[in-house]
Amino acid sequence: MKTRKILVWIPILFTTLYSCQDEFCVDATTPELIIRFYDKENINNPKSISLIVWANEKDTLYEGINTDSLAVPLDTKNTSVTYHFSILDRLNSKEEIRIEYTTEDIFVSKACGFKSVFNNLNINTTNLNWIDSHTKVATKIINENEAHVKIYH
Amino acid sequence: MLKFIISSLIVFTSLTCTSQIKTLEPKDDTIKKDSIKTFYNPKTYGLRIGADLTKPAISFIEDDYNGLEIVTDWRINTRLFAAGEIGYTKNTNNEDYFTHTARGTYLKVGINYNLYTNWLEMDNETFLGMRYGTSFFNNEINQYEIAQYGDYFDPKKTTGTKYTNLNSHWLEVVAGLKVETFKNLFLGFMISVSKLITTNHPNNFKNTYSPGMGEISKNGTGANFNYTISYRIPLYKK
Repeated sequence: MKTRKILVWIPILFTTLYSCQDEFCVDATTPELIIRFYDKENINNPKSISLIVWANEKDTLYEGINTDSLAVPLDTKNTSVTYHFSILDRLNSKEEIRIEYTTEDIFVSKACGFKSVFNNLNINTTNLNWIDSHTKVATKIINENEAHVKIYH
Repeated sequence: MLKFIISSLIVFTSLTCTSQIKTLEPKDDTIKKDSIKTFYNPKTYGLRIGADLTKPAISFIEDDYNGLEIVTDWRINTRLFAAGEIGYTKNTNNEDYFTHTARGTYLKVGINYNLYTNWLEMDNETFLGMRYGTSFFNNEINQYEIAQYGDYFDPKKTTGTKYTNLNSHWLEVVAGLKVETFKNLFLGFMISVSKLITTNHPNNFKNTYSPGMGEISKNGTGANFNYTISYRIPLYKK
């Protein structure tokens, strides 16, 4: 009789506890574009700047962040993004940065699924206002360890 | 890890049950000596064949799952059984960032060792055992969504690829019960904890599910259970 009771209880216990298992996404997923700002007079010196940042037809991404390093996401559904960079509290200081790329989807893990990496990177800046020039450091965006583009101002 | 704790808990529960039953044995040595052979000596040998009841039931309830499993074993002696399972699974898994459907068959072969001491005409089992398992399957990524930080841009959603000719090999530790409810008719429950030996991961994807093993965790473990009804075709008595 005891055995029969266990025969009923063990499956119930097991199915209850079995449904608790889960894994969370903790791996690095789709990388963002890392931009670093440098002094145009002394190109090895990082130079901070306060910027308002938004992409074409999108809301503001950064509103007056003061930094020498920015991470901006890229659109995985398209092959280009145009960002607008404007200096905080300065009128008519808008510059455009156009980023062109191709995407490649790479499997990460069960919890994270797929990420996109960006190949054939091509960057253009308007250089009308405060941007002096830029240097593309990487041709691919596969991680966020180092800057992909340097902007001199 | 959690799965391992749960499984060992259950294994220990079944062990407790044997020890409890053992205390019911007569304490008097003279009685035990006289009757030890008649006390524990299931005599019927034959092929026991049955089916898992949970898999068809889950198939009926859930649209995402289709499965069946045939179980069989063969008595070698009063304690030892050669045992095996064969089955088919089609399962759609909804992960956080993708869904995929695995379809395929599996085979498990191994032994069960009975720890239960039967009385008189009883023929029940509380067993521990081992299995080697293998499966052949294909896996189709139905849809995936790119994983990214934030939602400044909506992530790309797209359909995936179908990967064929996949296989996996694993080892299992099993524990379970079998109770003879009517003559030659058994109800049984078995849990198994499996450890992946090898699988051929496709290019740019991983086998996170294998028929027979189920969900494969990050460290290559899986867990399963079945609830079976089986009939023993009595062939001879010894």
